[in-house]
Amino acid sequence: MAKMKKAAQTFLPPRTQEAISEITDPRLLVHFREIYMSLFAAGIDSLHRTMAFVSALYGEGTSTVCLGVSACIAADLCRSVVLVEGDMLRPSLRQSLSLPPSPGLSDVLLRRASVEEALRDTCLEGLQVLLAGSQVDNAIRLVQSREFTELVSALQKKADYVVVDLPPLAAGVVALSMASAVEAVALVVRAGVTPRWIVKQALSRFSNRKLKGVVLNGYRSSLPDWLEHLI
Amino acid sequence: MRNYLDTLAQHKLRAIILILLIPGSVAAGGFFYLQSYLSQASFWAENQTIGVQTTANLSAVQTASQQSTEQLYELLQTRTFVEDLAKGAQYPGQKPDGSLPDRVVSEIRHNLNVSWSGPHIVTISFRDDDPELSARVVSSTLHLFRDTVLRFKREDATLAVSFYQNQLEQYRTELTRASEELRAFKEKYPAPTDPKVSRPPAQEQELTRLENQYEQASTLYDGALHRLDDARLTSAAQVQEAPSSFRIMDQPRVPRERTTDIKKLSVAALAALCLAIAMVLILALVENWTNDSLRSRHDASMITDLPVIGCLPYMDLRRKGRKAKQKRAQNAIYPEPLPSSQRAQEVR
Repeated sequence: MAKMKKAAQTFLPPRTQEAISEITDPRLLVHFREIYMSLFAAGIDSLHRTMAFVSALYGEGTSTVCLGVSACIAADLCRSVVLVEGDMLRPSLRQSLSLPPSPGLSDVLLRRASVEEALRDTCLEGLQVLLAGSQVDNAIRLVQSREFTELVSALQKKADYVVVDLPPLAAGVVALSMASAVEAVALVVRAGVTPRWIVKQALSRFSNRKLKGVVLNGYRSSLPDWLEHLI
Repeated sequence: MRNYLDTLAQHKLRAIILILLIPGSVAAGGFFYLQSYLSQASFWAENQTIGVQTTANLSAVQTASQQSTEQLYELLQTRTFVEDLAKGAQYPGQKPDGSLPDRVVSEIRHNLNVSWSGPHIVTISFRDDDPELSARVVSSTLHLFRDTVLRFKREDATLAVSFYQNQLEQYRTELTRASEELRAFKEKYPAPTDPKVSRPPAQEQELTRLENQYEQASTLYDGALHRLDDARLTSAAQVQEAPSSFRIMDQPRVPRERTTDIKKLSVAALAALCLAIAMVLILALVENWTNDSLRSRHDASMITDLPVIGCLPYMDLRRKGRKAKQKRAQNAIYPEPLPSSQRAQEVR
């Protein structure tokens, strides 16, 4: 708690802090804990703690889940976490955090900026963000290059955990290429929205070895608790 | 099943609206639409209104009015009774030969109501758009039922008398035969003139048998004669008492105002309620069937064949408004320092 209060003393644009305070709502924290604990239990290597979240479509809440899990790991375990925004075509973290887009991931991969320059501090101590960076047309070529794997390795040396927000599988094969650089991947599905056949299609593209589980986002049940337990 | 129940619960407002709106509108519409003229009459019934008792009528707990109501309903099931009733009431729709189409028979049975309002009072009512016709039908029913009751009573009484008459005739024949046999024996074997001389034992035995036979036949005949007299008396008494066991209390009158048919209204409202419930269930079923999305942990684990490692509840974090922001700020573990605050200035 002291760590959290200390973190709050850092001044950042109000929107950034608002986004983090929103995502660390106590009602959500318990679920983010469940997610990272499950991923740890699924066997993430103690030395290479890299994980990624992917979805089948846009708007499933992958960025929100990534931000929440990263913030929760940083706050709970007092470890350093780097959140990498992998979607270079339609980045969303920079909007929700109200941070300038560049320098970011694309700039680092194109060697326009160093990793240190691209990493942004947040109001939460231990949590750093690597945004998508400048808009690029050849995102697939960038992530397929050796530079991305090296970048992830470099980030592992700088932080205890690396969380990658992957672009959706509907956006092409970028997500598959990026996922090869991480240890564990979780599929984010928006409850009541994502059709089953799309989820099945997305799963068929992925290697089951890396896919550790499913995160159901936006779940809401209209049933009373007693009936929910009964069923 | 879980998803179906969830869909039902999700649209509970729609369900409540449908369940209230459809039967409510039907009841409101029916209240004005289902208005007709109701004519009533009541009569006083004594026990055993109809002599021929069925097993059901022998029930000790049934009152006279209940018995009469049941009997009238039974009679209404017969086509003859309904046709006589319609003829008496000049009911429209009769064929030239006096028979009635099935539709009219059903209509009469449906609109005629018989109920008891005490141990002896039976009320007959009929509902129709024509006030005079409804009064005529009630009157016809009342008189036809009374005539039927009296006819049955007379028939019962006649039946008992004719039974005893037949029995008496049979005993009379037996008595005549026994008398003839005794007389023929005495003529054939007259009694000895000398009182000291007795009949041979075989004759004496036969004579005794014939005398016993005559006495027995005579006793039976006398008994039957006595019972016939009793039956005649009882029959006469019953026929005389019959009209007093059926007294008309309220004569049917032509109704002046229309009233709502509560029975039809209740049925319509109940049907509308069932329809509304069915609609709610079917709508939910269709929605559930057409919704192909993953909706629960069970769905997710079943479709993906992977463990569900997290289940984030739906939260409208982007909700605007000052109150929502204040609430979020209170709930947040990480407080937001204002840009104009002293701490922010220090950092700058």
